[in-house]
Amino acid sequence: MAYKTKKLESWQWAKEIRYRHYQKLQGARENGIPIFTGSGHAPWSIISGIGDFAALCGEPWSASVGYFPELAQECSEAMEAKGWGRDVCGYLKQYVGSMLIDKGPWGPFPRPDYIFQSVDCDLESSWYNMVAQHLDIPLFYTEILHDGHPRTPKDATVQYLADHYARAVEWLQEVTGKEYNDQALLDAMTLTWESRKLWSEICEMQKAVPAPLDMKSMYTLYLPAEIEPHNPEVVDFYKSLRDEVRHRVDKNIAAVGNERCRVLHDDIPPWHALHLFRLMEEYGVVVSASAYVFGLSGVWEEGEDGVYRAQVTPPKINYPPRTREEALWLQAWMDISVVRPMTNVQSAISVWRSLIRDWNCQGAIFHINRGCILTSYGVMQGRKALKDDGVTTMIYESSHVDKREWNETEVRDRIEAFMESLGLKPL
Amino acid sequence: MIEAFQDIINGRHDYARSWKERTGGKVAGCFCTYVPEEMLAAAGVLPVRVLGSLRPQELAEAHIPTMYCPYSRDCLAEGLSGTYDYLDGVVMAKACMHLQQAYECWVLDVPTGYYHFITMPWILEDPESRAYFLSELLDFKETLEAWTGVPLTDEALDRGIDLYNSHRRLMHRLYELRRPDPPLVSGTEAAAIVLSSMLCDKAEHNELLAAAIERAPGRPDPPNPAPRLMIAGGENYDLELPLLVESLGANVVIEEQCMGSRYFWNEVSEEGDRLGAIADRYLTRPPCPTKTNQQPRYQHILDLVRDYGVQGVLLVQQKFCSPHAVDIPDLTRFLADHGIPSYFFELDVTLARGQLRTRTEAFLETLDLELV
Repeated sequence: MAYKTKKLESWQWAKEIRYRHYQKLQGARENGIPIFTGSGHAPWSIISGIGDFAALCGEPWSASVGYFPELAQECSEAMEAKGWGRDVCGYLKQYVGSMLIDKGPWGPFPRPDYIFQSVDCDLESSWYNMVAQHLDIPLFYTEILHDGHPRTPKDATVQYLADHYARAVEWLQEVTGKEYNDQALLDAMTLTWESRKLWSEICEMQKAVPAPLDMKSMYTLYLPAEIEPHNPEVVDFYKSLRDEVRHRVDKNIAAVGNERCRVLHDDIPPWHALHLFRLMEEYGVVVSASAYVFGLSGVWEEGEDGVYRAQVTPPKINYPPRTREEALWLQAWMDISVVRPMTNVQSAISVWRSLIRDWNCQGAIFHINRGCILTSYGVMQGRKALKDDGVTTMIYESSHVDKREWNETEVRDRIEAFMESLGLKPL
Repeated sequence: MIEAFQDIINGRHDYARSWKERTGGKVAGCFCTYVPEEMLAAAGVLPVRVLGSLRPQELAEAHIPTMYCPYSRDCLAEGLSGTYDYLDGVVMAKACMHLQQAYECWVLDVPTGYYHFITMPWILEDPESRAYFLSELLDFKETLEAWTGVPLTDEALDRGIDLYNSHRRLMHRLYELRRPDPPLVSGTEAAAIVLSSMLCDKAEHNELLAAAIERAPGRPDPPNPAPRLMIAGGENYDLELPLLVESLGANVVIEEQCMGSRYFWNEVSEEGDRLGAIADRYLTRPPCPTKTNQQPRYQHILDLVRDYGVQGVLLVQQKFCSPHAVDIPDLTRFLADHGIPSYFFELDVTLARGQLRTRTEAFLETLDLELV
């Protein structure tokens, strides 16, 4: 059966937001705008309290570098020449390598003024220590603790991060010399929640058959909620996208017209080889779900019934937040929730089971990403759990940013064998 | 000098089973040196470090990707194979994601009874870190009491703290014997003593250790004069490593590793609130490279180099150990900046003896030249 298909009207807007984000970053120094750096999901809304700023978001920057294999290799080799091995975190090497050679995808490396970093894996402190030392700029660490609790974090873990954020506010005033504006924080926090909630709603609509979006497109669409969730334009964009996706669901408009099978893909894909998703479409397969893509820019809850669902309202606080404390608590809760399925094996398995069952997937593909221990965490145990459930699965090994780890022939062979095991032949 | 300690290592599973029979107590497997073992001891539990087999295995392949360190996969494989079927519980103190994953997979697939995860912050200096870690220790205390039925009163905690502090003092006395040139205790012997201490009752270990310290000054077979090396870096429990290095004409006089001096270096204060004192001990011990601030560790390494007359450093890292892999280039430069030569060696489940031999010999030759 062939479904109607149609180009996504919101696509261009997503690209424009991304373009303006990097345009602002590259021109920030000239325009007197301070540049902050930190993880992709650093608490940008908290920085909004000191006024306008540009964000150099670590992982998205590295992913962009990784999209250009020659530049990526140059960055990797700059790091390797200084002693860091090939198996060290790919994003770290792209970012720090880019800093060392002073090159990025769109010009020189945009030298940040401050580092505000939420550590959430073993290496992120080393990463930003290198940046702080190399550039001699101020650094403030917070940390997203892995507290071993599946489904929901301990209250103490959220409060710990919120307390760090409260001290970060003092630090921001001290290093920038600017007075902190609580109303700007509350507004940014509300917008952040809205952006992420809208993204979760959009991802939930992926349950529809045919899927309204394909994963290759979703890799672009999730980005605004990660890098500028506090931007009013981003909220408007997601409202528009949500309405468009809802229309596609109502009218049975498919992302892949020949959809006849749906699979899950996790975690980060090899950014230099996204064409593998098109290869699957030749078999009528659409990648319709991903814990990484859904979770990174969304707000979710893992219900006791095992269902992964969009969080409608924040837990345990007033919404919208009315005080600095409430806003910081909400930011902390969101930050911990984002990485939970990547840092807790039981959570990851529960989410993958829900994505298979509730998003109507018939198979699962896992990328063993040699360049990231965080996003490969729990992948094998998750695959085992799904296999035990009778789900057809496959794995492939590569790196999200280092093309030297990519073996096109082997991955193609694996995908073709996987398609056969799903009973599919090319259309 | 170290037969008794080596017997404990080689017969560690029989030792733990026999300890259970003898005492009727419970045995808990520990996944990291950030587990506050004195609390387990205070509850009458024998803490034993979970180790791998040092043999190639396939059991963990379906659970942990091969890009995680071989040590973490080896530990899980030992659980899956039933080698640790005598354990009554396992305890993890969060440090690296490699061991965290091994622990989490263990919880899912190795029935052990009691499981406890202690969240150890990456940031150690902030006031919030101490408060949070203290709350984690309170949680641990509660589940430990419920599991064992033993109230962890101040008196009980004092017994645990005293036992462990006594051990730490004895270990420092032992390590003093490594400072003369030539040392009175070899690196291989010290490694066996530290490792065995992680596998047996501390009271018994203290007795063996005290006797070994007494015997050492008059021993008939002390190490010969040789270049003095430090081993620094990641986990290693393969005694073949220091043995091979020392067989090539070097003395390993100190190490800076979790299965070495980091394990026992500082004490718990015996004053004030007990859990607070335990928290402070773990927050201020020589940190592993997962922690945000490595400056205290680098200074500590420099102090060890000076205090033990180190002439060269062998930097080791388990293959794919990401925290150490990121740290070692910086540490190499730091050592070089202070005029301390070093070389790097990667560890796997089995030791690459030929490669280690060749490279160590070459390193020792360069050291000889520098010393001349």
